[in-house]
Amino acid sequence: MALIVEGKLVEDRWIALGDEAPLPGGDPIIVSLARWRTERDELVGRGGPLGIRLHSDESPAQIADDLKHFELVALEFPAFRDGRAYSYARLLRERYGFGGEVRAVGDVLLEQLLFMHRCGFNAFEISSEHPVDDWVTATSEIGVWYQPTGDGRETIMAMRRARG
Amino acid sequence: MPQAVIASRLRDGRAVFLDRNGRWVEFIQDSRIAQSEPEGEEIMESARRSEERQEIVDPYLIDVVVDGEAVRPVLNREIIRAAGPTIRTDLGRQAKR
Amino acid sequence: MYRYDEFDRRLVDERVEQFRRQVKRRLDGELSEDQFKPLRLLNGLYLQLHAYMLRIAIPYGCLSAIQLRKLAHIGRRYDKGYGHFTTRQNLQFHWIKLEETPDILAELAEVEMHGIQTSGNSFRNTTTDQYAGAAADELEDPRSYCEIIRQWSTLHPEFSFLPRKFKIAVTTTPHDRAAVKVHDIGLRMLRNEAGENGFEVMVGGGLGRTPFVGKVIRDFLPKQHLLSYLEAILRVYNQLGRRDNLFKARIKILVQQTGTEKFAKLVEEEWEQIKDGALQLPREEIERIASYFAPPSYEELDAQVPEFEAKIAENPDFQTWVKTNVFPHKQPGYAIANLSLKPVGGTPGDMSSEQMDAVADLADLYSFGEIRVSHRQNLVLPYVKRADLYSLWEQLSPLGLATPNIGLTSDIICCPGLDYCGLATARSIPIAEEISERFDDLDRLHEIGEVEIKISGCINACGHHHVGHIGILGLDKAGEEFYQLTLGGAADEDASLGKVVGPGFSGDEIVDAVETVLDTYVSIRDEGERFIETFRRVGMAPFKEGLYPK
Repeated sequence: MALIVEGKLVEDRWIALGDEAPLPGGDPIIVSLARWRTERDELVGRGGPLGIRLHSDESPAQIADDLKHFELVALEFPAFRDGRAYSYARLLRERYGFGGEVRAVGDVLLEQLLFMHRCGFNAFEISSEHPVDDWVTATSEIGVWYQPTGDGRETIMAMRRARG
Repeated sequence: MPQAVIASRLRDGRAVFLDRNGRWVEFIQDSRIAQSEPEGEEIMESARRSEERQEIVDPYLIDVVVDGEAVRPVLNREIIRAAGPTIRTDLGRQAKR
Repeated sequence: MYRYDEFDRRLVDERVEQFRRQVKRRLDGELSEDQFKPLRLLNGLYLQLHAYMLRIAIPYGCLSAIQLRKLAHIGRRYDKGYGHFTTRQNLQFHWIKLEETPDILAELAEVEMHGIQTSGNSFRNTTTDQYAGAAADELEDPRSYCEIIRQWSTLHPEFSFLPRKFKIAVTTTPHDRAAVKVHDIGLRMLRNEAGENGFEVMVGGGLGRTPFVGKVIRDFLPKQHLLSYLEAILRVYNQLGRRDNLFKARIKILVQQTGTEKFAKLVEEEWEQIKDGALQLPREEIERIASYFAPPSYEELDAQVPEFEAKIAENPDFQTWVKTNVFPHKQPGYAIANLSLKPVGGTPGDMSSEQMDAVADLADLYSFGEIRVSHRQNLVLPYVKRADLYSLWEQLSPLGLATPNIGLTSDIICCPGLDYCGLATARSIPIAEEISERFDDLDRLHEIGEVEIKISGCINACGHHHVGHIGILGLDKAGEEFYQLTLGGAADEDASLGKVVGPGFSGDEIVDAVETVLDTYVSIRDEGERFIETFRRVGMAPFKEGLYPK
């Protein structure tokens, strides 16, 4: 599994912590929503970087008020066909103003990386032998888009207006 | 009941049948007929290997009736796959033989 | 018509090259079928009983002569010389080779066409009135709004993996010819008290194994909010639509299980958050798109056309054709001409490459080079001078495209069924053919009058059987085809779902059953009463008695 963040191949510094695993010291950890709910005080008190992993049936609306505690939100694609996380990512960025890492995990389809990025994902766990090449291909194959999203890319409508 | 293996050929999607030499052929008359369940499993195994080689898509066994030279599937669906659309007999395999 | 600018063109061209690479990887064995299937489906490529099938989008049913000629060419060069127009105003080719698909898509891109999102769990082709821009009764030309929706819904980053496919239909006339009430979203334009046009928004209509008529969730949506409101609906659906069961994944099930009121509330809450954002449609943008659909350069003509009236008087065959196949136009001296793709004994919606070429020429001659596709699987020349109708008819007749049966018994909607489709449980085309042969007598056809027969070859209801005045559903019973008959369905502004009349019929019996139903109707109808009106007045009982005598 390779991790692409902001278009670059990086080592994953985050530990995906099981619900039963003991809390490590100050290491960056990703916990489940369930664990966040039951151990909220300990997790906040621990002081180290904190991330949360949401299943595809767990909307970030449930943690909208807690986002200040997280540096990372991992959104799960249990199967590439399950497209809920696209909406979740947009809500995180555009509605709740989350500025940390939004990571796509699970069945992350390479062909969909551009759409994910447009929705606000900036990190991707992908299974690929050439992750950077795949990233470049996926995000450059199609270079124009109609829809305004929070990613700031210029839409076709804006380009038309600029052209006059 | 005797059986044959049907599949879709990858490059053009045409319905094809597995023959005695492990090749995919267009006419059901040329297909290898399995006379028993183990033999059916054997030809399916060969079909799956072909699928893994990305030569064909979605192979499965179909029941057939053998009458001398003629081989005819039992189900309407497979009869139509083997022959062509019933409303355009000028098209499909039926037009060629 | 809408014409691509450099941005639209770039998107489609890039998409073709992307798919070319994907097809190469598939043929080279780098991609398995499991990996490739979602990619091909997003480009309209299916694998059916005999070959690959390519579905080509015809945006809201609008075709130019140039595009139709290209389709003719593709039929000839890459298929078996014909294509099939579908109930979603699209065209599909049934004998496509995977290895040739990238070239086909590249050829289509040359004429601003593609197969993007004609399959898969995303937005499908937005559909509308086949008479758009020409109908005397429209509030506005719906095509501008369809085009606005087309752009917004093409490769939408958030909604490319919805729980299930998603269909939007638009109408701007009081009489709905676009079946908007049986779409995931139906938009019906109306005028409010202040004299402004906006949309009534319906959701959750649809056919398939659980049919529903759409529910109104907003009485009046101002036009500038069209896209933000759609985005709000889709965002609610994308998050809450069921993903555990394929058969319960359409938005209709979500609306039904949530309750219309609560669903509307969820949409309104979401919409409140985004309505004043980037999706707001400036008036200039609506006008810019509308300018593509400006009326053609009509001649100033008298409404009365003596030479046309004279031809009608002297030629009864022409008169019959005009009566059924010609529709009034908003522009004096012009008419809308329907070209029937339902010849006696033919496959509904099929058209040969030769016919396509000929119609393209006729469109250039008589209709400003424009053709429309109707959801009832016929073609339309939308801008014909009344004075030209006779010559047009004379040329259509030898092409087999002048059958005077629009809206009549043999104008049957019919899916491809088991003759082509991998999902079908029974054949549907032979039934349609047999009905058209049984009712080939024009006097009888006209005596029966307006009736809509719709045939599906499986429960997925591509042939709209639920909303046929007479609906036929083909099923498989222990290896034999058998057919269920429903009565009383309608897809217009008075949409209703047909009810099963009783035990089903064998393939040998079903056409007799249809005939019995029509004979019963003729014997009990009031003066001037259409089939559906009689059915609504008398109910199922008299038809049942006719079909199942004790």
